[in-house]
Amino acid sequence: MRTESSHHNYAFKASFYDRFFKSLPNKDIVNAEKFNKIGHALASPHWNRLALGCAAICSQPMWDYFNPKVDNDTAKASAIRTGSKIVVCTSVGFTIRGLAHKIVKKFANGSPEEGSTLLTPKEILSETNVAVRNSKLKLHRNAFSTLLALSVMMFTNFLIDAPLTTLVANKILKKSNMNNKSEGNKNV
Amino acid sequence: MSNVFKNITKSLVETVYKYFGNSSGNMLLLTSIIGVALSSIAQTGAVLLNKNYSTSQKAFMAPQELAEGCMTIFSMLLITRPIQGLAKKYVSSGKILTTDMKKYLEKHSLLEKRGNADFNLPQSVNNIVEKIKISDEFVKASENKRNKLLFEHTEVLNSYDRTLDATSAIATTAGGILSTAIVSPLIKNLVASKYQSVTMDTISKYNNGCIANSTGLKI
Repeated sequence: MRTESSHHNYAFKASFYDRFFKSLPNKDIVNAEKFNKIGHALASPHWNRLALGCAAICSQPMWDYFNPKVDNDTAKASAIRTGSKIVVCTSVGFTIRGLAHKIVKKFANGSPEEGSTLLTPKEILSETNVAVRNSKLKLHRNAFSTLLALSVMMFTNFLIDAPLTTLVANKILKKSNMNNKSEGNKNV
Repeated sequence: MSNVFKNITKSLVETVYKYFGNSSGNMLLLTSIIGVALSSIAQTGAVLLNKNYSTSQKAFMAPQELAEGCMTIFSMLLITRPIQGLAKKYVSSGKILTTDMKKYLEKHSLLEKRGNADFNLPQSVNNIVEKIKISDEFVKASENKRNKLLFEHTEVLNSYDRTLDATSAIATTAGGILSTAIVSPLIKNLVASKYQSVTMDTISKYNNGCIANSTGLKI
């Protein structure tokens, strides 16, 4: 009896999900080449990092600056710090990921004739269809360079990002405080 | 020495390919989570060691950094991953189709099934391929003829793979933007301001206690 009831529940949920999913709009991709190009660019680690960084700089400092739960000084310091962090981390992240991608591209070729295959997996090397091999190689290069960049960033997060963020944030904060003081003196 | 390095590198390459070679979306998500965690620890340390911030500012910004790390990871798992899953389902059910995939489905009378939750495009193509492989024409054909018979199906599967990967990468990025630029900053500020008020209350109580004790008053 209990099994039957749970079966009915499952069937109801499944049919609800089916109907909901079917109601979502279909999308025809007219320019598949362009669509795949955008996808490939966003799958590459450095462009992906840049896209996230650009979106973050447009929104995060604003959320911090207009945070009603803290005093003005803390909100300002927090917004400056967040902005500096995004700029520094995005620049460092983009550079390291870009370099990692270049290194992997150099050492992961589709065949020995094209260059070094040190970082090319066996399955890709044995693939006979050139189009499939290139497509697989692109994915592998992205995945491996992301991993390489991550292992470098384990150190740069502590050695470059954090100290540089502090340095930039302190400079901007000092300048902003000095501007505020000079404006205050003018008003007096 | 050089051979040892080559062997280690090769086995690392094979492992990475095995787990992430066919899904850049998963790799991006996993490395983003690890990257966010490390960055959050580094930035929290930097806030605590910064002499330019007051105690009150540190009490807000240190938990803000930690909360940002945690919230970003949670929102990636709760928002980005489901978006990624939905995107994959969108492609496998045929809701997203390129022109050649649409023509293929039309030719094989599968277009009416497009967009159904239980429709699986690569599975349907594989079913057709299996039927071809047991047909007399295929069994008796030469290698060249066999390749010709399977050509359009292989092409549509390649096109499907490319579309799936592009959609997955676009969805992962969109989900990442939604979680890191909107959801996570809003929640991290709420958590951090709550923590700041609790910390400042504790500090002021502690200071009052010290003053009271030094003047001999009981509180």
